[in-house]
Amino acid sequence: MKVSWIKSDRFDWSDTQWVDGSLLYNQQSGDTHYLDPISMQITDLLVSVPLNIDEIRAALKNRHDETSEVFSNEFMLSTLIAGLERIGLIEVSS
Amino acid sequence: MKISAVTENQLLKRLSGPGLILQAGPFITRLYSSIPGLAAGIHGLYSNYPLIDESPFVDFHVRVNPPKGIRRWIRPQARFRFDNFKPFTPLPIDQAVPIFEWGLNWCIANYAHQYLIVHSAVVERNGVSIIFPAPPGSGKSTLCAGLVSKGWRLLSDEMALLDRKTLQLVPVPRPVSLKNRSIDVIREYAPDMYVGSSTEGTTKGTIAHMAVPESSIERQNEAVNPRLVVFPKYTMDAAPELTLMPKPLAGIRLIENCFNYHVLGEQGFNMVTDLVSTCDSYEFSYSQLDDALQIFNQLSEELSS
Repeated sequence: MKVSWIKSDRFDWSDTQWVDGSLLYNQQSGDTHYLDPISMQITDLLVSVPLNIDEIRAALKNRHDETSEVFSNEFMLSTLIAGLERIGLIEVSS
Repeated sequence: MKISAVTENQLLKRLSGPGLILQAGPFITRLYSSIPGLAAGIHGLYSNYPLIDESPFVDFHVRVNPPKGIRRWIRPQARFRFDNFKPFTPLPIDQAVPIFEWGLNWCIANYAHQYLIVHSAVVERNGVSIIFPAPPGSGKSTLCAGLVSKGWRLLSDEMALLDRKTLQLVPVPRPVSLKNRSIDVIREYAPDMYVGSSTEGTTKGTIAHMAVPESSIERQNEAVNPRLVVFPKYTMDAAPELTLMPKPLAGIRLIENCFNYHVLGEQGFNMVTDLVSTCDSYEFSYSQLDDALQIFNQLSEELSS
């Protein structure tokens, strides 16, 4: 079974979004993070339902041109998800 | 009445006795010192500031005096004290002016948390303000001095004070700190500006301060809305280049240059993102002050019309 992720409930944040990316403020740690536009969309997708990588890719396809690198480059989407997990914004759904 | 109304000796008497009250923007400092070199430096650099006899409230009680003991006579030193707290080790007495300026910067950066404080120069012309955030060595002060010498208002050479309620830039005009080669650059570029004597051998090299124009002091209680954020970089022989920055990147770079972002918590985050949303942000590389002057004069005219 594929791993699914969901937004961590240990991470309450404030964010400001612009077309070229977002800044997030972690209210627990006081850390500030930069998210590129796709990472921000992944985060939004995982707010209420856990999704695996295929489901995330399918959901993103509704919002993006399929020629986008995030669909052709398997490694890129995994890297973005790993980055979000590393900063504690999302976690593996149990 | 201005500080220029008293002689250097009278100023030294005041510094050695009741203290000299200095107002720079929203801050009142009472300075005590028995060092003639500091009195001379203050007399030159602060001559256009108001001479204040008494103030019901003082933000910073500061002393710059020789420490006790042998260093009073042999290779004499000066020590900065703030409310009897000694945050720094003593330095050679001929560095008394930089010691005072650095010490006062330290006081503001560590205690004035009613503002979001960004390490930057701030200037304004025609109502268009520019924040120049930059680490040391970026050419920030040279650029600031160059613009101010040609008619821009100085709000600060060292820190942008952003009001936590209004997000307005609050002026704190104090002498512009010039280092090493930039001292001669500004002496040559702006011969009408008063630049105090050079102090050699400091931790930052040779230091001299340029006095604040009278017009900037007269408007030191006049806040202004932030309009542009420009990250300057002096690059030898470079053609001037102004490049629009993505807003999230500008936000991160601003946070890196904040003195008290971590102290203000989420409000600091909201202020930085509001600032970035409100302002256009640029990276700017330059090698010639005239090029910079032309570009920023043109920008201020376009944006004010």
